[in-house]
Amino acid sequence: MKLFEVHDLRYRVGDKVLIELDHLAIDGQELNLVLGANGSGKTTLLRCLAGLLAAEGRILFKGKSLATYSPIERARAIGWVPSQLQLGFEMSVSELVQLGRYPWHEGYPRAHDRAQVTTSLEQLGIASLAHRSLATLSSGESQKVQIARALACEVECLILDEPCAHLDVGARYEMMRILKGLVSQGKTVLMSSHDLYLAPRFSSRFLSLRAGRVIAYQAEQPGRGALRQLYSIDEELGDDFLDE
Amino acid sequence: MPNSNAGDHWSLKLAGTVLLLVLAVVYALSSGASELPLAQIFSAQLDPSLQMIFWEIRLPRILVAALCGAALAAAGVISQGLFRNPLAGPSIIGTTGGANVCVVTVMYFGWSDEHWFIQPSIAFLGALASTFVVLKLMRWRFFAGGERILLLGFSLNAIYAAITSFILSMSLSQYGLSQSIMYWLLGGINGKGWVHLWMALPWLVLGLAMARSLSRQLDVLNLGEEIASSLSVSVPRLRKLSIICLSILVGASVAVSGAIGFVGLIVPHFSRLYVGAQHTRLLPISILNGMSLLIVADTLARTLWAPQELQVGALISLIGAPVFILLLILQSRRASL
Repeated sequence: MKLFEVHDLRYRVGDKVLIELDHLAIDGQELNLVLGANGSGKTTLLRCLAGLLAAEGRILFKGKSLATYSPIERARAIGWVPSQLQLGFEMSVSELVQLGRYPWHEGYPRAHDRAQVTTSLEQLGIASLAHRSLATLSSGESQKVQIARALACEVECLILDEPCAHLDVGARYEMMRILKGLVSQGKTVLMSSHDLYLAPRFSSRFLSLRAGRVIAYQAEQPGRGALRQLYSIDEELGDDFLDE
Repeated sequence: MPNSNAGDHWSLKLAGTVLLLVLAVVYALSSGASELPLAQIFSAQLDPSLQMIFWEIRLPRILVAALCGAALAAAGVISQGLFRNPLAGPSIIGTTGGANVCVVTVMYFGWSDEHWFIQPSIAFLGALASTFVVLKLMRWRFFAGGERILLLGFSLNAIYAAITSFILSMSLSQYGLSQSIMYWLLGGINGKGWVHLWMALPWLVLGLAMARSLSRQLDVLNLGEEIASSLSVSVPRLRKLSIICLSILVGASVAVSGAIGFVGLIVPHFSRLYVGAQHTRLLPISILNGMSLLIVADTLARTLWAPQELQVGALISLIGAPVFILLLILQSRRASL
């Protein structure tokens, strides 16, 4: 069974259609990389799949319509990680990751919830940051905390919007390695990125979007010709285009 | 900036805050024109006039101050949590101003004397309408986020102040009425007794119970609306309930003590410094600190220039306004980092 099956999906704001696709089936336990130019609909598609936008059409998650999942069921199955975290008030890393357990404890954490928070922090290698304030973390550490927050909820699928956006090459490499590791542990990862160098090397499926439509969903990394089309580049791309 | 370990030693911090409240109550009970021997309060040998001062004047006044302080502090926690902004106190965003306009209107027409229920109800409706307007206008990009909420609050407060001034000027020909409106607008607890306590208590209990149940979801909202939704929180429902809760708390307080500003701004901010941002802890600590602040401020208001009594609202504003400016500077610095 496919993890996600999408039929006749359409999301519009006013008259503008942001995403429109007839059919898409996404496999589980893969690292799916969503590629496309700015405004191509990457974030909108990911938000729809995370159940955060009410779009026309049908999205099936494990064969069941996502719309029929209760908010708690959905939250326990799919974790959403936006590109940047904007806190209203400062809090510590462990407090934030504990909030990721909210769909399980609904505000009353027990010993098991606390243990799960510790496990998630250890899994990401950031247990030593537990008592640090979020404001004191680097972008890479902050992004790991967000992933730990999603993992603390024991989700099956992680959806990340540009997780490498503010990271240097070393942090990007570590981030991709972590995400690949999660896939090998049985999770499914869907992420968008503009990184055409590192991210594709760790990804197993590539979803190319252009103007709100899926151009391709394939196991092979899009070649230079496909990338030219995807990013509307007129000139020929040299052999070293993808070398950093 | 709040300490990342601010949530540690919770029991100790709670005990310290309760102790502060006990000290505030003892200070308030023992201060005033007549000296009350506290050790003999429950003794049958105590002078009946002193007993009367304790049971009929000082104790109910302290309790009313405590209730209003609790309501305003809890309203501040809810308001700041809802708008995810430490500057969003109920008096800053116009919730208190909306309640003021409605109460002044019913006072002018003499409706508030018809039934004790009218004043708190109309204050609640005014607060509700005003907060609803703020939330709707914040949907516009121009007012969204950061310090823009202050512009919105400033504009709304200017409108409410203009309406209030208009009604006040209409009442100037009736000396008694204009004086009672003026006293009420300055915000005070002088002359408040058991009847006012019973008038506010049911609203307050309801408001505080709602605040407690909302605090867990407000913790999640601190991560942003989108993440809160992904973690099963119904943000539209949370928003509606928070507005109702905020309006009940502000309405109950405004109906009893008039326009006392800044409590809902200062108290949660101060409390956050030592217990952190989690609403489940911030709310009880802020309620206790709100009680202490208003009890002490009211005691100072009645003793500093005795026998002349100051209005506690004016006294708190003297402290609150500079603190507000300080908060604004700190927030701007934080944003520029």
